[in-house]
Amino acid sequence: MKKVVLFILIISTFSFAGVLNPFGLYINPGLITEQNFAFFGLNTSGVLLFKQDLYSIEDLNALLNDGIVNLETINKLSVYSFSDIAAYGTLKIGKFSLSPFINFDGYIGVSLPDEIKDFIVDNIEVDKTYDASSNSFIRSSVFADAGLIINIGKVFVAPSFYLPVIYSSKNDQSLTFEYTSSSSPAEANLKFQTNAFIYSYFPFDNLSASNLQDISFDDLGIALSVGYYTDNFGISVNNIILKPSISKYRVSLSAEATLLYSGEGTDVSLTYDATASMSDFESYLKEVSKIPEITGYYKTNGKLSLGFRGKYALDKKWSVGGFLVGNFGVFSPYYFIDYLSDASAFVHSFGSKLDIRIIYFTINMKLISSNISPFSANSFGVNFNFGLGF
Amino acid sequence: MKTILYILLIFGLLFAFWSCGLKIPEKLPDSVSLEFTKHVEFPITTIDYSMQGLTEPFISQFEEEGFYKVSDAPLTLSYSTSVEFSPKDLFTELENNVKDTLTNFASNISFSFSVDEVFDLTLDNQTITLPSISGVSGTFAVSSILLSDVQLISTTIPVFNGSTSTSIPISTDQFNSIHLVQGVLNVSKASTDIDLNQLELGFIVNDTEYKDGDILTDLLLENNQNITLVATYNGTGAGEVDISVKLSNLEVDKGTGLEISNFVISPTIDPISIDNQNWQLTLAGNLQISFTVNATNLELTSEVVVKSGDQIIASGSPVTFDASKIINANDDLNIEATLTLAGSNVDIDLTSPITYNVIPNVSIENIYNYPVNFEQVIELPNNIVETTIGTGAVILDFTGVSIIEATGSVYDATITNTLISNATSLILDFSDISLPSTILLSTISGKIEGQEISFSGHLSDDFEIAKAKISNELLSSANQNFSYDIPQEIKDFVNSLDATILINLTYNATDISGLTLKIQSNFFEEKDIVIDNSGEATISNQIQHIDFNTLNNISLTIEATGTPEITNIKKGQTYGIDISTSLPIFELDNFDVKSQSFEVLPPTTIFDFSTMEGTEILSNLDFDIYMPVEFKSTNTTVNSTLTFLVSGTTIKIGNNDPEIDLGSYIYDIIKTSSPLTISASLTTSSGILSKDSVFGLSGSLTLPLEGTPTSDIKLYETSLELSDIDPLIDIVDSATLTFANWENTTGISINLSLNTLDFVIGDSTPVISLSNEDLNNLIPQSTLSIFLPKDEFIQFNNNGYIKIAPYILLDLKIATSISFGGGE
Repeated sequence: MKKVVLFILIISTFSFAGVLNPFGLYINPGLITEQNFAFFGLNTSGVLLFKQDLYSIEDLNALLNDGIVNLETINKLSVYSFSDIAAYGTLKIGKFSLSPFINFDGYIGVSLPDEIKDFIVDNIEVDKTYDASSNSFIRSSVFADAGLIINIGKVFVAPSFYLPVIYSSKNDQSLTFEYTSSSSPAEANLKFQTNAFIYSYFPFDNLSASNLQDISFDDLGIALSVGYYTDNFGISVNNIILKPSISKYRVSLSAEATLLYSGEGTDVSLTYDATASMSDFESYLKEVSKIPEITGYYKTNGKLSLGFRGKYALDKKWSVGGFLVGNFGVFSPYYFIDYLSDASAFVHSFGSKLDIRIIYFTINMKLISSNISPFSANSFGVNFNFGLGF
Repeated sequence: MKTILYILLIFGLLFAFWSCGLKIPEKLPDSVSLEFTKHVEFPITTIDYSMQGLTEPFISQFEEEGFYKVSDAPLTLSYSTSVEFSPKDLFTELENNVKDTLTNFASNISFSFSVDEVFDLTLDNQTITLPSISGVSGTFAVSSILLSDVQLISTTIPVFNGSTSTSIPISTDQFNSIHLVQGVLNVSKASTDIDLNQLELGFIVNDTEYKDGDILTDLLLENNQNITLVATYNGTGAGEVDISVKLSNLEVDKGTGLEISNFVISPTIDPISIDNQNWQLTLAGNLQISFTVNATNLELTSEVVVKSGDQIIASGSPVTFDASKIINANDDLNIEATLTLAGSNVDIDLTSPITYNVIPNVSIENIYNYPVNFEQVIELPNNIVETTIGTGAVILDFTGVSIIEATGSVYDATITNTLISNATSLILDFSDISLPSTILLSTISGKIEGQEISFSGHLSDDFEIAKAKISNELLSSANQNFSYDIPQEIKDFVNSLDATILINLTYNATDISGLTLKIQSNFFEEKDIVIDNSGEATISNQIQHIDFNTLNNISLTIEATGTPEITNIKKGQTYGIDISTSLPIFELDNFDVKSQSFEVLPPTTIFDFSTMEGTEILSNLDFDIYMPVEFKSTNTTVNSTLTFLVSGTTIKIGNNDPEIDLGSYIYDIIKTSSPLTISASLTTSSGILSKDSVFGLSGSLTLPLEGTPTSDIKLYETSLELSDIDPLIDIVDSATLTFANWENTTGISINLSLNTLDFVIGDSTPVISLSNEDLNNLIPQSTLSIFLPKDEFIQFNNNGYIKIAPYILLDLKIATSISFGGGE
């Protein structure tokens, strides 16, 4: 037992890797060398975050344990997920390192206006109008990147190629909903209409190996990250677009429903019609770019380090977080709290890192809620990192 | 150790967090139950029921029967009728008979005509378009041209025993290249050294060997092209020979750099046709003729003459017409051309044909015997059977032609007057011609002033028809008569009367003679009216006091007689007969009447309630109705009584009696939904009635739509179709039926009932709570009705309406459960 403790102590005298991740919610490619292998390392990391606003944790528990679904307690017709899966290698020569990487990251969110939820849940009174509209009920942006991170001392530059995997735009989607009723004249009129396009470089309904072979250099977007990092402070400007990428396919989603009722004397008529369709992936060329963003962090060092981090993207999506890390050599437990503006979500991450110099492994579990209390969390996530090297 | 404590602490914290959030079940539930309650308010329908909508068809039915609406609130209908009778009314038929006879006569005998109408000369603006001389164009082929002889080679070669071949270029200044159609090779040789008889010469051109005298065909030659000279010498010794090679009779269809001297062609050119009719003309002007050859440096001269038959009518350059030569229009103009080709260094290609183009710049100067063939028949005017034209002529004026000569005539059945020419006009003399007659213009000759000739005709100023006889058919068709038998009912009523009647005739017939109107009658004066220019005549009745005991019939005959003629009918005036008639006085007075009953109104259905719709409201209503009727006689002292039959009930009313009320009869008729039929007869005592005596009946009915229903009167009833909501019933926890509108402005009590429920419309809005069971009862059969309740006095207000809008408030409760599988 003592030998084990001694071994841990010996190892803990070396400096161990930090818990901040080069990819994920706050991308800072410079942090790639923080994995702290002396010469060479292979790493993989993944973040999967899912947030739903339909039901509270109590309702979820009622469903899971008692099999009860109560439509009246729906909070919000909204789901959101974020994921980032990366793999990278690092070759270090002194203060200089080269790290090729591939990275899939992005989010998919669907959010219908609250007025529609209210129409389903609340009373419907006659002679009242219920309406809603949205032009961003589907939000998605998932890109595949492949690039090279070049670190020179504390400064890095990371050029990469990227392609859109799933992308939706704000300008070409629409959702309108209107329900009116009138007691005199006796009429009721419901109209629901939505239309949206999803763009991708790949035709998902007809994928084959040739789709990968056929990737043309002209279609690839080129982006650049540059930044600076230290043990205490880091900043990274990501997605500096040198060339936009081309999306080659799109699929259109549409749904329509109408209900018309009218009564006059004994002349009463009711018509109802509803259709929903998803087209095949059709060829459609569109220029798509990643959104430029800036990330930064600040932390203290020591047995217990305290830190803050943040991100701001040009499309006004932002995240901010604080963290507490215990640095106990081989083992680093930590707690992160982050707020994601896009998902309106507080994310509590509880995890720890195990690092034995040639192999490290990090895992954390995420509790996600709409308010700051982790006890009301109704959504979950997970994060892992793994690497080996020497 | 501290580190391990930290670790344990952190794991403890982590566990605490996890355990207070999601509860992970040991086993998933077997079923999922759905819970949902919802309050939904939904419109049903609206019922807008205007009183006008109810009463409109009802009122329009009454209006068709002669009723009219006098007020809307309360709704009141009225009906008025009056019957008047005057003794003069008995003789309306006689008066109409006289009028019709006069009118028919006048319209049948009247007619009119004028010379200008009769001579409706279609000659107006007749046009003659002369043919135009059109151009021609086309092509002709020239197979080859003949060139003068060409020396190809002139050289000196050495000759030995045996064969020698020498390559020698063609050297000539007469072409650069030629395509031979045909040519003869001439070789001459001279030598002092050898025996020329032993020398044979061959020339190889394009792999074919030719000898002196050979005919070369279809061969392309170029200057400087090498020809192989093969000399075969069979003699002895050796020496030099001078050799000269020529082409003669050289025919070429293509070539460059040619020397051409005066090659002549006489091509065939399409003729120009003028017309296919036989007449003559002279032409002035010229033809522009051009020829196009596919060549450069070619000098082309042409000489052209134009022939019509054998005579040359145009020649020179340009080809100019001789205006003194008269040509037959149906002979073609033949163009004869002679072309001469010459030039040096000419490039030419005759494999494509030579084109020509003839553009005429020619006009017709004179025409001779041009066929016009115009004919027009001038018919007799209507109602005229015979005419003789005294003096005058039709004059045809021409434009576009002068110094005119023509052939033609005007003729009738017996006489033909030939046409007279007079510079630019032609005269057709109509003296002594009778209609119908024919105008004929056969041919014209003259000097042409334009491409189009036009002419129009007019009557000379002295034109006059000496005499026109009017047809007997016109006279006989005008004759009219009538015979009026005095009806027995008049004789039964009237002994005698005094009559004053005057007929007026106005006539106008210029220059007419021999027409007399004859009037014959047993009542009117008999008269012969001689029509002479214009004037007026009157006819009055010769019997002033009519005694119907002796006079049974009145008759009138009016005839036109004689053999009328109109004389000296001048241009520009209207002739004929114009008669109009009138009846200015028709006065009857001093009717001596008997004591007698006389029908003044035959049985007449005034209105018929049995066929009217909507009267069931009235039949279920207790109401009051009045119809006062009054009978009056004016300007007479004769006593009279009017007798009515109102739908079977006899009612009598004397003159100057007070009015009587027929309301109760009408009420019964309405209640029994029967027709109202009225007839009336007048009974008088004997005496004298004057022309101003009148017997009059007047009555009016007022029907206010008000009263007390004797039973519920249904205005509206519908069975509700609720099967659509049947599937919903199970999830309806409770429902409430209420009304957004609940209005009644009719001023009367109107009820709404839903099955057994009953509400007064307009009172406090009903709120009907329906349990799930109530709804289940409503679905199979439910009736909504609107009715006027029994025993409540109503007064229809035509401006009122009922407006109700039911809607339903549903509380839905969904509690359903889905179980998964058979449970492991």
